[in-house]
Amino acid sequence: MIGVTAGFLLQAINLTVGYGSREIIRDVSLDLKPGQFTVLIGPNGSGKTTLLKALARLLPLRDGVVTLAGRTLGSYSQRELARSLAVLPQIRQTPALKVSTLISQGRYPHHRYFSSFTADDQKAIAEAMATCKVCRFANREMNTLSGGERQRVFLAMLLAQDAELMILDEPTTFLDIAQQLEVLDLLRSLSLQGKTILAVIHDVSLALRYADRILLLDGGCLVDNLPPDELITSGLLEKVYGVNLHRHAADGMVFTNFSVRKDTDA
Amino acid sequence: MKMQREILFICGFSTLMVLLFILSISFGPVDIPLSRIWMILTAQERSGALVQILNQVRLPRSLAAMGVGMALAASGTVLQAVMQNPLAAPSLIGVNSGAALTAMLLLAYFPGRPDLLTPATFLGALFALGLIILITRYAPGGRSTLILAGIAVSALLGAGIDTLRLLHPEAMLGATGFMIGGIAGVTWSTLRFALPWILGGLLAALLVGPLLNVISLGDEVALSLGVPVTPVRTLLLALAAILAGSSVAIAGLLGFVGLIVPHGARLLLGSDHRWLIPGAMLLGGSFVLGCDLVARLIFAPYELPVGILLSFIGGPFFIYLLIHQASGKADAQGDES
Repeated sequence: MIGVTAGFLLQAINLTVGYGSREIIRDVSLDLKPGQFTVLIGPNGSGKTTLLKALARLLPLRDGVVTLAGRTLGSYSQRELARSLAVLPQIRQTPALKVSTLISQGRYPHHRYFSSFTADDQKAIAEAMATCKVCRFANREMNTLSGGERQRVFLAMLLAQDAELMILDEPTTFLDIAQQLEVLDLLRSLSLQGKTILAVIHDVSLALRYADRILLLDGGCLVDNLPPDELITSGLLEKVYGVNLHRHAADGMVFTNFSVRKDTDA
Repeated sequence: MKMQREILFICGFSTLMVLLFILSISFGPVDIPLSRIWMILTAQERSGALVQILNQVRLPRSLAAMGVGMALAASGTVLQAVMQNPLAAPSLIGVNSGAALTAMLLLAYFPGRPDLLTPATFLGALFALGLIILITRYAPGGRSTLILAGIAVSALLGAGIDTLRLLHPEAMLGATGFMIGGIAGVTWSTLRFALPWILGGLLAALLVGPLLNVISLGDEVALSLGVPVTPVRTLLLALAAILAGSSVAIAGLLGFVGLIVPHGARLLLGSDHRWLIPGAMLLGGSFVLGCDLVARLIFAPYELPVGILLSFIGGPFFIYLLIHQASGKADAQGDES
């Protein structure tokens, strides 16, 4: 566990990733500290999903190294990796499974193939269900649930996987605002309990409110890796998105908002 | 108990299959009463016409119907999970045609080697699957691409089959029956070489249920849950090829079983493959036993090849599925950014 003692759970050095002849991610280096909730933002087409997939070993690297807990990603077996790193991709089918059956799939990397669920498995599943508040519909079929409820079930499956690092691609997309806040609250409380979380969040205002750190991606390059406050004052957001940023305080919280930038002729 | 519903269904399907098996060995041009069947099976009656009919005609035929039905249904269920496509059925995507082509090749060039028939059909089925996977990898589009690729592959393999039939008319005595699909002429000598493959395949299919559950969540989720997707998918496709190939070795080109039965089983049991696989097997065995029985009795004393009856049922069902799939909403949510 050299990486953890050095203060990082995941470290990426000089990543270059691409499809075919196109390079999507160019020379990106980043690190994630244990227990941190990091949000990856950037304009459409900036390579957010590609970067997440590369970090989760779902895409091959053109160049660079990713280490998880001090070991290179390539040195993990698929099963071993699944015990340390849980991924929720953006595109996925809604399986025609019972909610409890789907959540129990999260235990796949932990239990032996032909054995039934152990007490540890049962405990992890029950805790994940309680944390994500899905116990109420544990016996319903997935396709009878609303979008927000489904998302909570997928999060419960991810949680049952019991990995130190969770990587989520747009977990709040297609949810209404109450459901988005619910998911983000859940992710933040998980990070407070010690999980390391990296997520792509489309809504920049929400990302700034919830994240410990923001990774800002533009055109396949990492612009910066800052806490939200510093990012807001840095002027980088205005530059990358080409908008004006406004801050205002209410109910003891600071909110950010955006408006069209009038002075951009380019 | 929450599992009770599934257990009840499995018990029901098992009972249904056993009942249909008994009816299947009992009814035909000559009916054999149950009491006589019992006496023959327990060797209290050892000679006579009924003994010959039961041992040499009815038993192999009913076993073939049951085995082929179970194998094709299991093959379809595995293919649908691995390809994440409810239309993936061995007869629709050219897998059966591949098996038929290699069967014909064997009959034409190595006659008198029935022991090699099932290995040959397995290789043919695997070859067709490989072609399909290649085409769908490079062809864009959604679920119907698989069907289009299946049409193309079936046409190509069909051309091969037709050429062989022209070049070697002498080796293709049973070819017409083979092309329609039927189990009327099944003998112990055919069964002897194919049944071990079917049994092995069915047993393996029963064991991969939990794996199919994970694989059917999609490649990325499966990888993230620790399944090395590429080698696992290859092994599962080989399993589907063994099941479909050995069915073709026994019954020729029986269509639609691998499409209809998994759907029916899924409606009743849901998509948890730990239950779906045994459920589809039992329903598949029952379905082909039942269809064969009907095909035997409906125009008695004439017999309809069971393949024709299956197409009469399967064709409309396939059309229904196509319409239902087209109007149903897509499962994937969101787009890539």
